[in-house]
Amino acid sequence: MRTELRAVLLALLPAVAQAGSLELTVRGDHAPLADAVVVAVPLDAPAPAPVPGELAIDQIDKEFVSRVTIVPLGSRVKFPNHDQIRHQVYSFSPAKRFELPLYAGTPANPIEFDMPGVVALGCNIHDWMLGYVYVAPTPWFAKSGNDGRARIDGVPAGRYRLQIWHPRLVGATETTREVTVGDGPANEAIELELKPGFKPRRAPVPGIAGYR
Amino acid sequence: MLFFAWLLATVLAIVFALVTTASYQIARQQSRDDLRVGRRVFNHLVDQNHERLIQSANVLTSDFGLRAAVASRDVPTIASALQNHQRRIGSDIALLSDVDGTPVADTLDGPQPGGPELAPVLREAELRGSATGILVVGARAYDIVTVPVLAPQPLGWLTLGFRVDDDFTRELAALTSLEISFLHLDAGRWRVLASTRGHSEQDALLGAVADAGPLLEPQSATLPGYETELVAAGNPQGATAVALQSSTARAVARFDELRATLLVLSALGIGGALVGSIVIAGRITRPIQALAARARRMQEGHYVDAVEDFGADEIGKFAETFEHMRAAIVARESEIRRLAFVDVLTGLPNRMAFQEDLAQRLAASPAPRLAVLMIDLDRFKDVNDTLGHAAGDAVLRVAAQRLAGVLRGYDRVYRFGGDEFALLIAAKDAAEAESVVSRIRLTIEEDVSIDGEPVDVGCSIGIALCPDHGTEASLLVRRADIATHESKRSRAGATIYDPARDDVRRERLNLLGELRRAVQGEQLTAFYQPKCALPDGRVVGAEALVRWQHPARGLVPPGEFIPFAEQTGAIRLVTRWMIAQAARQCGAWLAAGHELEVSLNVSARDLLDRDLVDAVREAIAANGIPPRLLCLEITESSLMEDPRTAHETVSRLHALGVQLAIDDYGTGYSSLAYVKRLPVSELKIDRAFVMNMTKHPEDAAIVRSTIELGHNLRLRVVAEGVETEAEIELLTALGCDVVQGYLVSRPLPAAQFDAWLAQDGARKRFTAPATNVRPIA
Repeated sequence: MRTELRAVLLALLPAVAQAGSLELTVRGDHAPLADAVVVAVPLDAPAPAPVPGELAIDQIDKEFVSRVTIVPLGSRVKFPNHDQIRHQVYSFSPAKRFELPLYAGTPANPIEFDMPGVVALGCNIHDWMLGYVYVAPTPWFAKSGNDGRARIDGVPAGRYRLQIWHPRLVGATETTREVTVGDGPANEAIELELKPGFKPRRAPVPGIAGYR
Repeated sequence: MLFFAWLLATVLAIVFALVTTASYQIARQQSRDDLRVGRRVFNHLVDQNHERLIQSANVLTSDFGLRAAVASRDVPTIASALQNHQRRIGSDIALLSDVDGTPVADTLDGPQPGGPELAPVLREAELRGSATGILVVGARAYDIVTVPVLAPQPLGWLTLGFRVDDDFTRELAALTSLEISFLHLDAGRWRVLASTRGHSEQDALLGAVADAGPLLEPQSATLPGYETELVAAGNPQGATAVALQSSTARAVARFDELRATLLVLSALGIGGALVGSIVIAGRITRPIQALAARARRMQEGHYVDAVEDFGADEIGKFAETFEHMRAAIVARESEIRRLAFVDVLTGLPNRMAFQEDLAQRLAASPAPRLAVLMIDLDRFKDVNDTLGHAAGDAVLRVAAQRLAGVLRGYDRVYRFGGDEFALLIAAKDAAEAESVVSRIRLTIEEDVSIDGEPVDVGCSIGIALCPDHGTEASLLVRRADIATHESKRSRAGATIYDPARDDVRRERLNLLGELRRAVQGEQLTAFYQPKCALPDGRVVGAEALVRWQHPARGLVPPGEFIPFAEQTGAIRLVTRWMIAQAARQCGAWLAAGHELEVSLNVSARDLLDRDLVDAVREAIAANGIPPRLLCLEITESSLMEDPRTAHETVSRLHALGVQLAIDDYGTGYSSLAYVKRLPVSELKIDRAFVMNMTKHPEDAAIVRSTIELGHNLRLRVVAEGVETEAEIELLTALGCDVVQGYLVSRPLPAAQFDAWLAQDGARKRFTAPATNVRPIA
């Protein structure tokens, strides 16, 4: 995460003099919503490419950590396996299709995410392992914390389209919103329509079938 | 008895109805329970099927190759993977849809489902992770499960399923013991997808749900013979349903055997009761009814027939006891009858028997010719009194035997009591009756020897003839009685009832009533007949004689009324009156200077009257006469009726000082020895001897001996009925003391007697000088 922040700070440096900050409070199910991805895409000028980074998504106790990871476009991500068993991480998402054959430890070659979009991560061994990589096309992005707030600093003044995404978001694509960033901080709030948390079972649960 | 069979039948019918109702209710309840249990089993089976299918689907969706194929939309690969898997698990459908629900590939040959059919199941699967339901494709239906294809996000949906066909329902039915039908709502109309039922039953089922719309909640349907429940089958729109049915008939059938058994038992029970009733009726009821009928007949007096044999059982014993009772009653009754109709002393039938027999004979028509004979033994009282009752009884028994000896044919003899007997004889006329009577008299008058002593037995017989003297029993008896009295009175021995005499008798009875009035009404008069001493003819006394001057009849002779006055007791009134008259006359003569002894007759009745002595005493006292001037004449027979009382009365009269005379001496049977014991002072010789004295030497001898004996007993002897000079001479010669008769004077009224005295009329009759005159004691 520190690498991530560092990358953001680096990206923001040229425009410090005129930069503002943007904060979005995301709610869902009438509560602050964590793990929501917010990306600001400038409307008046072409978006500068973000600075790619070297990142890692860990597999700990047969789960992806973190479940949602925002990576700047072009970043290379490693998948260190901290469990005593092997995993076979894959993705059939259009933004990035890959497969890491059964491995233990950290595979040698990191995966480069070269298309913006959502990449769903799975493990062919453990169906319930589910993780997301959001490949951000701009340098201005943030993920909401447990308080639902996502703050993006150093955003040059101007009009932006905010792309908001969450694993439980209804519909396949992001929700968007236009905002204008000025000298002061821009504060926005949004209520997302969520579908029930989809989480494949870790083990079979009987008694859900039958005619009723 | 049939009542019990009927009662049993009623009870059994009620039991049967109750059992039927209860068994039907139990059967319904049971089929409801069957349905509930079956439904639970059904759900469980379906759940298991689905679970297995889901697991199987999960196996397929976990295949990385499939995921890769789906992700890359490699349809031929997907299709071949589906077919491969279907073969492996033996399912009937395998279908892959993309994330939006659009079918991508399937294993079906025929029509293929579109998105809309699957959409509800997919939505369910999206919410729950998997879903089940019925997928209808054309004419076919499938029981399906749908699971997502995850990579790891849903890439699409895998649906697996089995055909819902009749085999499928039969399999479920076999396991649940229910009838199962799958229904589908197609364009507003339910149709059957698959069923274990026949066509007609399917139609019935569809009819029951025809108006029902989509089925969202389980509901019950009413169908004859089945408990039916409709359950929504895996279709959120309620377009498919399962009809679960449990047969009531089958549950009822379990009770049919019970009911059949009950029916057979009931029939046996009722039959047994009927047979039992008939047997009981035959062995108990009918004999008891017969016995009751016999008891009623006995109550009406029919005792004669024996009670028939009723066998050896209890009824038979009862009948036997009943027969003993009947026999005892018959025996007792005949004994009572015998005693009632038999005279114990003689063994002859009694008065009651006589009355019955007579009534029975008179009942014949035309009236039988018969005679009623009433027989009184003469002087029986004497026998009883002098020889004792044992002798009397012996006489009666002998008489009874003798009377029985004269009977012919249907003649019968009865004893009425005392010395009274009666005969009922067949007699066509008086002559025949009299011939019987003469034989009776002959046999009765034969000497009877009682304890070696000869007893003289005579009888008086009265005869009444039927139909000459009446055809009624009471009339015949009364008339025979009258004839008997007449016999006694006239000493005729036997008398046939004489209607003419009965008239006389009636007249006499009237006279008797008038006599009572006469005593009070001064119709009686006392006449006096002088008594003169022999040989000089001096008047020594007079006999007072009663005369009845009847206002209509004139002078009634004493013979006309005295005997009946004696019979009825009216004589006592006459005697009292005479005593008073005699005493008064005696007093009158005494006052005129004539000391005359006045004598008067006293009857047997009077001697039994205890007041006689008082009456005499009063008369003497009232007139102030010496008692010796009053003489009471007593007949011999009057003393015989009740000798003790008579003797006592005589003794008391003697004690008063009055004279006593034996009247009519010679007619009775009293011995002089008996007379000697009496305190009499005078003996009167009966006129019968006096009248014949001069013609028959025997009578003269009797007179002479009587005079001699009287004198020997120091008695004055008086001769009555002296009518000729010759008699006077003879009597004088025989030493008779006093004479009385027409020759001297007939009875005179008091006034004439006084005149006669004044003329000294008596002396004219007596030629002899008054010598040898014996003073009157």
